[in-house]
Amino acid sequence: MTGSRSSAAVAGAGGPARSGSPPSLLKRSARRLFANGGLIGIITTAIVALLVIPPLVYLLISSFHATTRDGSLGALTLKNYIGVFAGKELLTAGMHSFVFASASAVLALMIGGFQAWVVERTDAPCKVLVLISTIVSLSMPYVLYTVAMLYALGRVGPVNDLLKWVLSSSTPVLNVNSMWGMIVIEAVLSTPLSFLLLSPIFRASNISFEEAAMTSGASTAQTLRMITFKLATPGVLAVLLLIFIRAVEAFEVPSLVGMPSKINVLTTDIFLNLKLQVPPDLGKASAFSVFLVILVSLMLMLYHRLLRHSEQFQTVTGKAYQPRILKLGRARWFVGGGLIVTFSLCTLLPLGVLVWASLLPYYQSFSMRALSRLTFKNYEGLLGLGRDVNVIMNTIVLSASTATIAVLLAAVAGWLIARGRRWSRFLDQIAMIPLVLPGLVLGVAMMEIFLKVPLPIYGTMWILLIAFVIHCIPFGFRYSTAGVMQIHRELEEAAGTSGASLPSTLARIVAPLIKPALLSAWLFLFLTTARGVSIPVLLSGPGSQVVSARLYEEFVNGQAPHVAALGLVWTSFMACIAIAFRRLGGRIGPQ
Amino acid sequence: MRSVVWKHAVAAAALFNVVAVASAMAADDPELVAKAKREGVVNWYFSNQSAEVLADGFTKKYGIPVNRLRNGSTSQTLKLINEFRANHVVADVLDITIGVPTLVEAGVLIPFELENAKGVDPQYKDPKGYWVATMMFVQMPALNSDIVPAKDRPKTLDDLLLPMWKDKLVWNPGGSTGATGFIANILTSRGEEKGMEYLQKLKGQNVRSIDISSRAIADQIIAGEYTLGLGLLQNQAQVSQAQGAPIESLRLEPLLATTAMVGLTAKSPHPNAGRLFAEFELSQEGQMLYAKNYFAVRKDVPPPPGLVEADRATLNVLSPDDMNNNFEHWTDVYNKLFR
Repeated sequence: MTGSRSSAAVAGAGGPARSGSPPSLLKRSARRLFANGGLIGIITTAIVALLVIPPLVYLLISSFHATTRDGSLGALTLKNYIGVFAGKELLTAGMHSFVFASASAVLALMIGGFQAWVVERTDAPCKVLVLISTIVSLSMPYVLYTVAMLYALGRVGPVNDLLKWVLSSSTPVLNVNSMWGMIVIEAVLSTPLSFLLLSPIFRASNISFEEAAMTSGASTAQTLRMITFKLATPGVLAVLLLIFIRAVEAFEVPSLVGMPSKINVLTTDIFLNLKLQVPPDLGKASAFSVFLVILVSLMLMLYHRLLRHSEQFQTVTGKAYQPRILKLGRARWFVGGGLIVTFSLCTLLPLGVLVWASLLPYYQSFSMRALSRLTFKNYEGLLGLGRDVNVIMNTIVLSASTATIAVLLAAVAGWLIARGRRWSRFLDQIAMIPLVLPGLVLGVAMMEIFLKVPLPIYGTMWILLIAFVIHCIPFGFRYSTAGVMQIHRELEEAAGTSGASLPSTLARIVAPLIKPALLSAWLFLFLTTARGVSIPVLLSGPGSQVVSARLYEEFVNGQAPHVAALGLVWTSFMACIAIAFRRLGGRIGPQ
Repeated sequence: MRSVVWKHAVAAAALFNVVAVASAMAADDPELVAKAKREGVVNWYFSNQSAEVLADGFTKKYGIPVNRLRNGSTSQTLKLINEFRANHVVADVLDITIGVPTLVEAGVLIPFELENAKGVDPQYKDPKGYWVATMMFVQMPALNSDIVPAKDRPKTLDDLLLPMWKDKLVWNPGGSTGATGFIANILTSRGEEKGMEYLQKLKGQNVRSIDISSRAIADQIIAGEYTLGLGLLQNQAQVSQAQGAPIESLRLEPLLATTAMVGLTAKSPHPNAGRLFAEFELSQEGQMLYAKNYFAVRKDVPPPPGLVEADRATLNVLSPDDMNNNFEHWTDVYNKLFR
């Protein structure tokens, strides 16, 4: 706070000197508001609160009401909360959830962190593989990716076939329907997010600290451990928190991978009821989400406590800032090999399985007999997809608008949070709430709200846009907070001293420095929106349909080879858009 | 032997089609058609993928475009209730498998009578007129025929309790297929007491649950990931088998059938177009479009490939009320015994 006060004082002192006459009371008040970030804080907090609070209120209300047979709210009750905690295997499910979420978050952080560090800070070869991997993973629909991994690691999948051959075993060596299977697949799914969030952190590291360590006699490993990774701590913790919460709330991987072996987590029971019951048990799902909101709030408090002195992690100061590439010497090929391994596991394996499946009349494992049956039949008729131009355009416009609005909001809010400005703690708390709102609960809340308020946007693209912006807020915030945290406030103070107003400082100093983080965020949110299913399922009308919901229905009802072909065509299309975006100025990997 | 019977049945059905289509086209009510055309469009909420052919057929015949919105029954029910409560109904006509009684209770549906539903058996119509069944989904277990030799294939539901099937069975936990459908079939055909005895024994077989669609379960069986799937739709194995896939349906009687139903919404923006659409769906022409994959409810439409007309009498048909009143109980049984 001292820093902001001093910069405000300096800015205030600089104003009259320039204008030559004392400013009016109104002007002074306005300047003071801007100088403290107060007005910006109020406006940003108000917008975020307006987006997030109504669904939260709905969540609270429905958690304390019974769900009636017609889906409306019934009598006041505590049964939903009792239901969440009364499961006979709550302790086991809780333990499973904890192990699953923490191990997958740590693994995703390690793989994504390794990729980010190598891409941003080293001269290792094969960096482009990380870029391909990230774009492909984020372009591929979630369900398709999980099912592809299940086929790849399954009993008759290529990995087990290879292990059986190597170990001369007659039975499958790996059982993917296990806790390790859940952890690996969830971690692989979270790796692109981890990489994209960690890249800007490593990119913005100032090499002078590392050089100072090396000059003082530290080895490369010591420098990495004590300087590079330590400086990245706040950003890394934020990413870990985000991925952990996402994994606690995850349903697809536990239900597809763990359930066949009866490995139930906290979400399995609750979300299965939400999905299968007619009407869905929204009360119980809401109670569970309230429990997660409390958990997230506690974790955020812990996080802020850990980072009370975050200034010590700021590396981009007013002094010459030049991130440089670490020369790895002979180790570069070893590190490059690591990138090839992660690329093979995260991308090549599921992609290979899908390509193979898409070329068969029906799914079968690799064999010479299967080779003789290869066909392009599954791709025939897919050209008809182009018929639904409106649906494709809806998807692109919706995804681009969502990403743009969420990133702009996140840029300002991320700065407020990282600088500990007024409202920042509250802003940080409410910004994480959408993360624990199940898609269906958010959809119902939005439907209830907009069918009741006199704003005729139900069934239009506008309601989808608002819902997706809400859904994207936590991710956008984490990107920008991590980016701003490394920019030392002395840069802003210097701008203030030179007479720049706060909006001008934000636009001309902060924004360009966190641009890489914001562009990464944009691409991530664009692709995330394009593949979101549960929100459009409830909120789109006959004239506002998007591709993801249509694809999902095809996935549910189509045969595996047809689904694989369809998924690959859509993944390629989205990947082309992502690459075009990058060529137009975005950056999500090596340049 | 069975395939010979099926071939005869298919041939007979083809002949039957030609004769029946020529003779039984019900005349449309010109006034209804004119009103529907003036409304210009129909909004259709539905949950069954194969039903899309129906919309194309309707537009081709009447020149009225169909705005389609396909979603699962759960989502459609939620949407419809909320639209109705907010006095902002978008859907004119709907086709879903679960949730119709909920919609009736909430006041979303209106009672109606269709000219083309007059020949439909009473068991496929709501006595109060809120819905008419349009087709039946027949469920049959299916196995990987490469893995299981013919002599080992189960002949009755009790054969599934043999030790050789322990850890080999799979189902999906939800909807009207999979575990819920299988449990419903056992409990409704054998009665609660004997049914529960059977299910207790089945519990010992350690049936694997995987939360993917029954179509995806069939694909997992074809791939060899699992050996025998319970509660699959009859046409799924049929389609893959025709492509040479190693999957075979098992005729373990009684065969369970669930229905999809058509309903008309209160406060519909295009009530005549909605009604005309429902008439088309129940017409012989519309029902023929369904018969490629499912059992039509009209007797003058042939059964789907793989089944014969005589099967109609032996099916264990679950009415929408059966489903609505007992669904929670069947889900509970699944949760207690198998999760």
